[in-house]
Amino acid sequence: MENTSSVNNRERLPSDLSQTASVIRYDLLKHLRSKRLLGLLVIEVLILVLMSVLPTLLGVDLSDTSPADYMAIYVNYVDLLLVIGVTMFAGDAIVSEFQNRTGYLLFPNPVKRYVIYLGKLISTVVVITLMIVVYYGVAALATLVITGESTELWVYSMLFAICYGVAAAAVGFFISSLMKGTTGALVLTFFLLSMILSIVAFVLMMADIDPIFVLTTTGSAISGLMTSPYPSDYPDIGQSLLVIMVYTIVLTAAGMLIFKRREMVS
Amino acid sequence: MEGPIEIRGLTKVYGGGFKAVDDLNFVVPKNAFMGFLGPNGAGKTTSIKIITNMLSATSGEAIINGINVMSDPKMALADVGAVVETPEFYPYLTPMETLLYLGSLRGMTNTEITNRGRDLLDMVKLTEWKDQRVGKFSKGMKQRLAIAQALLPQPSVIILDEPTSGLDPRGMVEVRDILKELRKIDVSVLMSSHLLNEVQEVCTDVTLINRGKMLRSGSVASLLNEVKAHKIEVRVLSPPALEVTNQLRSFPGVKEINYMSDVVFNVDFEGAEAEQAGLLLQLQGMGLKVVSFKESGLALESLYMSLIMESR
Ligand SMILES: Nc1ncnc2c1ncn2[C@@H]1O[C@H](COP(=O)(O)OP(=O)(O)OP(=O)(O)O)[C@@H](O)[C@H]1O
Ligand SMILES: [Mg+2]
Repeated sequence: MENTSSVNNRERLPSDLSQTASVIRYDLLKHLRSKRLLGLLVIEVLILVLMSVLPTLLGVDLSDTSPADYMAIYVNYVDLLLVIGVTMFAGDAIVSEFQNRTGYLLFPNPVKRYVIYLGKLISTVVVITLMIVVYYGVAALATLVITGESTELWVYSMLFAICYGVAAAAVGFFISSLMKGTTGALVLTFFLLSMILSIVAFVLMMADIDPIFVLTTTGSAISGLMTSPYPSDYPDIGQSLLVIMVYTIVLTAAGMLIFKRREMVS
Repeated sequence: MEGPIEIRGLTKVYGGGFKAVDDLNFVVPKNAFMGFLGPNGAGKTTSIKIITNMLSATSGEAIINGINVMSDPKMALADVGAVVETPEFYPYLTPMETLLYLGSLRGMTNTEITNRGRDLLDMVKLTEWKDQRVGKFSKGMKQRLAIAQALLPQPSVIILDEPTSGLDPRGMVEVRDILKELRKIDVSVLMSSHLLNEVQEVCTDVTLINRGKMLRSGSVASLLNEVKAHKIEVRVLSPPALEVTNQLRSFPGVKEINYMSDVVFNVDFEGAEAEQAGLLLQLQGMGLKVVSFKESGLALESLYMSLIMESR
């Protein structure tokens, strides 16, 4: 156990960017090894199999349905899948460092808090993207098999769903940097994305205010994109993407600030 | 005075208005092994959390290698290894993967981490667990892994918060042996502890705090010089007569005599070494057959107790 004086820990200290890459790598490892991701993928595949096989078993003939209409049935559930994914992979990402005391290991290292936040957020986005791509991929395959045709509409829907997933993950991270306990953070993330925001949007609509700036409103574009031409009563895509961007940037900046200020007390 | 760790007017008031650290000032000199002593709730962990960027100070500053932790934590902590409380590990990583993660954050190469990691895990006796996930490790194993990760980057400054807490007696001895090794290398250590024997055994310097305030800071030797009162345990062959005891009480420097049993008594004694030697001669001169004559308790303990009492 010798200490060679040749070691210069200050000089070899990596940049924020390369530290972010380290955080991403090891946080991804967590997701890949967690039962959560495995469980989610299993559920995802079960749903898909059920949806593809059940109609055939019941003798429903779908072979003359248009591929877009058929695949839209699958796409209807992407919204729900995203809520579950974000809850599982973002809802407690930050708060768990405090509650599970792993912060005592990580925080005394020469790494800025925003780097930890960003690295974890990106790794969550990667996992959610993976989840979405697998879902759309299998659904597209099933569509091809059952209707004998394919449609490229799902690609747009998928790309939009990924963008929406990024903003939803930003919401989850913001909540998890704010909340004291992991359970509270998970529950709040879930209900915010599944109910609370849509209730707010509904109330705004009652008051004749366009609720486009409520994040979950933009989520319906995921299904809307399965129809060509894009239906006029669905949220405008350009506006939706803008809303998604604003949510992502503002909530991430705010979450980072809260995380930076947050004290490690137990 | 300058040193690798400089604490200047450090004060921490918690949310509820409780002042846990109150205008603390001390310096850990280069290559010193400083014990950070104080009773439960004295503010040791609070101070250490501020030094390691886990809490923000209400006022004052903590400076490591010339850089203020609060204003540039990344640079200040670049050359620091720390164990604070008993940290929890990521349950899905193995000890080696944990080291690879933390080492990569410090710019170590994978080869370097693997090589050094192997030695360190060997040192903390975790070699056979090296590729098992940490999830089910016992508290003692986690504590040893925590020590290994603190040493990984060969830091010039090491900060330890009760490193032997939660360890069984053998684990404590093993960790203490590791701590003693640290004295041989080029490293400055700040270590909190309640265990006075541990501090007296491994530390070169001591800072004593109580209720967030500093009582003393200096080398162990200089603090021990302050200690005048000793407790001496004497065992004799047969019970001494009452008059012998009374005679002893009047011997210069003797403050108190307490019998533990018929043949064992403690002498509270104040005096230099020569006088202490005189005491033994006196006992024997009075016809007592002395079986053993030894200083009981630790010098540091008596200083600690008297200073803590005074500051109440
Ligand atoms: N988050 C907190 N909010 C309010 N008070 C706190 C908080 N954390 C600690 N304290 C109080 O601050 C004081 C110092 O606590 P600290 O943990 O620093 O003591 P310590 O010297 O490490 O004690 P121990 O030897 O028991 O580990 C205690 O009285 C404690 O109750
Ligand atoms: Mg403590």
